Amino acid sequence: MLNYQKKLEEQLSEICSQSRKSLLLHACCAPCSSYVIEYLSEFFDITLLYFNPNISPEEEYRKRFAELERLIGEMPLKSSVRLMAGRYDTREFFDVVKGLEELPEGGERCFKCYRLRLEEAARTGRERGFDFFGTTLSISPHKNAEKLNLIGEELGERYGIRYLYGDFKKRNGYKRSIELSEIYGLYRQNYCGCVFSRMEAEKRGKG
Amino acid sequence: MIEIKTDWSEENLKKYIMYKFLFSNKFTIAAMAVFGICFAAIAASCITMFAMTESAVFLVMAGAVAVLAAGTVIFFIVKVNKNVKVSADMGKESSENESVILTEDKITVCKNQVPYGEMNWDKISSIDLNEKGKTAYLSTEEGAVLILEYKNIVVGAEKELREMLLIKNVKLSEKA
Repeated sequence: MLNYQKKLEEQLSEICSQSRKSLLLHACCAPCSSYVIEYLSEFFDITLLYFNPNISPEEEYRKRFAELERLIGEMPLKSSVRLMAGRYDTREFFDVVKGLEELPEGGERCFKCYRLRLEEAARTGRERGFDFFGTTLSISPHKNAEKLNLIGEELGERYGIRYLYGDFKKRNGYKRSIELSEIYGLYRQNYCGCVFSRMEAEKRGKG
Repeated sequence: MIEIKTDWSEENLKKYIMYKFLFSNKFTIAAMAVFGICFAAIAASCITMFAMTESAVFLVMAGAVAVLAAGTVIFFIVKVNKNVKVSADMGKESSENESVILTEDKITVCKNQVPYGEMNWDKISSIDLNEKGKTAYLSTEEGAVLILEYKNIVVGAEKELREMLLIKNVKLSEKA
């Protein structure tokens, strides 16, 4: 597997010598975003895109958004970070995962979900003139970073916007996100977001 | 800091071997699938040939293939059971009342809550989180394994343990 953290570092060293770039960063929740914005705000003008139609129930979706809003308001960052709320229509998610409901977490259903959210980031990024687009998702050890980066790369080519590679869990990224979550008292959910992941988490809980 | 009792029982070892062999290694799963398909294809071909030619030779061949496949499976089960029994008997006495303390820097092994050995995380070559079985397996290059069942946590919480192991796993993947 390619080292996407290295690829990211190459991209960052390349843009260091250029004028400041803008980044549309897809964000799934506050804990995952915490380390990523701390790390990237040194290099980019970041706008977070909260587009997660996979998350259910709606109350959970709103709670995660509120935490994200609070985080960027409270966290001292190297540059200001904006937050953009995406559409919330869970039908979008259920449409793309149709027929894959029974699959276990981490498989093809999740890959479709990565694509759905990354595609929105690529499309919005292109329409609004961002230099780069990316996602915070690779910070989670449960997510398939290789798949995420391959999808991002492909969408970047299709939409004509540069994809920012990343495997943010590396270099103590995941650890730092836990520390930051503790520092800011962030709400940390015990499931990824969709109803299927919630059921799996509940099953695990019952054990 | 997390303290967790270790349980070196036959049942746990069996679960570990099954997990390692069947679930954590995609290559093994693929190899077993190929093996099964090959046996099924040969047996089906023999039966088809028997139907076409009515020659008993093909029926005998199909039977032989089925016996061979069943023999392989039985051999595998017996072998695993035997290894598990030997390992469990060897470790049973020494591992009684044993627990481990996991900290950021090292793993300390205790007997009756008194530390008697420690190792650095560098020694751990693989970490498997069996989420369904609510167990974590920490293996060394030498083949030793620590079986950590979440229910046996003495100090700390399951969430803490999982987080610590996920972080260590990321570090392991970086080393690789």
